[in-house]
Amino acid sequence: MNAISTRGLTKTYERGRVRALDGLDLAVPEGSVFGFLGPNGAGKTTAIKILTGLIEPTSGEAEVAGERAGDTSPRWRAQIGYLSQEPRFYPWMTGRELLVFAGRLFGVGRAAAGRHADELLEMSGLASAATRRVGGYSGGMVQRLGIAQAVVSDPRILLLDEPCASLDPLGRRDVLEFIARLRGRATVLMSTHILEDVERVCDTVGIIHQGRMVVTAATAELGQKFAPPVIVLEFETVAAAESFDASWRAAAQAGRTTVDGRSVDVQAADLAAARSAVLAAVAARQLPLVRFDTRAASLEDVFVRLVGGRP
Amino acid sequence: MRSRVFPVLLAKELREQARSYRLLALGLVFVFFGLASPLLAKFAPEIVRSMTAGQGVEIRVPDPTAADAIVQYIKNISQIVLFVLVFLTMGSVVAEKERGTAVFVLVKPVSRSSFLGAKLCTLWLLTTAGFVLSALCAYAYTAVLFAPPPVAGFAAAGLLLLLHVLTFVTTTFFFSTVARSQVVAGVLSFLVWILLSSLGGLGAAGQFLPSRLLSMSLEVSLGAPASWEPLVGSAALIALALFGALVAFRRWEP
Repeated sequence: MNAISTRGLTKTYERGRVRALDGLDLAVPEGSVFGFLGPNGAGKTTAIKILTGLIEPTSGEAEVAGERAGDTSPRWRAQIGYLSQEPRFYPWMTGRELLVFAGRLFGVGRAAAGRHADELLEMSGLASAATRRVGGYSGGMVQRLGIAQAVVSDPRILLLDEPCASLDPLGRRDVLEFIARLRGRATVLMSTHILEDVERVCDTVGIIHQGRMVVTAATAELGQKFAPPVIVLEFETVAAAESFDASWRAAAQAGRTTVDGRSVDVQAADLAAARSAVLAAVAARQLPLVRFDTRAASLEDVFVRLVGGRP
Repeated sequence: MRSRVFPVLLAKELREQARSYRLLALGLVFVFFGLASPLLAKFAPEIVRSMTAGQGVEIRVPDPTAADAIVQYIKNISQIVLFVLVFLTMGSVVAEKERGTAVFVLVKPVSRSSFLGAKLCTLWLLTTAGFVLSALCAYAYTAVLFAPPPVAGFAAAGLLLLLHVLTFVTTTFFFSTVARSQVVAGVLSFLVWILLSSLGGLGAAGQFLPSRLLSMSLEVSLGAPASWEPLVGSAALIALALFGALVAFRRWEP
């Protein structure tokens, strides 16, 4: 069963001149951690705002927790937690006051909201800053507070727009571990442009481009399904790597190449044939090869292949 | 749940006013003009005499009365204090839209009408409390410096003046809801205030304008009966501003 689904979701601005979403079809299974991946301006934030009910679609349908997205009933809203891309909170409140206020908006009494706020501050590593005003928090602390307020109602569905933005590596690790712990207990949809984060915690990935869903698949299967395996070459010098790339392209060999310093990745639809061709090309030019390996396609390979660029 | 949310929002608004010192500033302004108005009326003749002393000019100023103190009070509240109120109100909604804090609240089980309602109630509550405090100061000081004005007439005049102030606080609130920046909200609010204050001579239609409440306020304090036209006109303007604000805010997309 899907916790979140959209059908033909469209959102236009400026009297139809700008098309942020163009018939988006999305299905997020209940209990999964769904990575919503796409380049800047692909429509991720617009889609999430529609799912929260903050904005209305121009056409199409969106369903969250079994109800039409935008249902203003308190019961529906209580099931959804949301972290915006650039969370902003009242700078005059302390971190604790903000979480108590957020809890009380869900109808929780003052004492219970206070106890829960203390737990959340502990969980998000903000206990020592609980009585400091939010206006004095760093970007990373605001982001942690944002995640804490998103889960204040213990929601069934969590919509996180770039949850790891502004976080240092340790903060990022903590947030990803927290998201991973929610698997099975809540449905998480997180938008991101960090492929490594998706590979680390998401069990399903949806790649969105120009307002349309390009592909949705299990993270583990994505590489096998949508991008061929990769032959990894490492040369002694950068010049050797560039020379190989030039000769490979000049010979119009099948398999797209990516050069990164002394390394060259060759995508190979037919691995056996490509392996022979690569070795023949290296031998013909007597290039100093130090490493020859094969690996399954990564999420980045899939992304580059489907969208034509890095996220 | 919604009925439980409104007091939470209201408490947050009141706390915000206190923490940002707007509550203190508003209280001081109201009390200051409540006390200063009778004082200015009392010493106006002496101020005029001291300004013209030694210039060979003699200006005869009649001895001030309690009515002069009330006129001064009405002028100060409807001009200087209202200016401060418009300034403090113009950012009430648009600032939250600009900063992004409105989104944090609106994704919780909070309806847009509750969000606006709590803000408007706070504005009305603080304005009314400040006004009552200021009116008490003005009445007491007028009684000390002149003679106690008739309580019923003063109270009726005060209610009309308060309605005038609340009308323009509400139109400012409307512009704060529909505008995209605090500056635009402020400029539009002041324009409408000036426009409606300068159209008093529109014949029969002018009787319905909120500015008519000011002259009526003085008349009522002197014992004249109130007419219904400016009451209806002001109430209609408030209702229109509230309806417009609600429709605009429900359509707002962050």
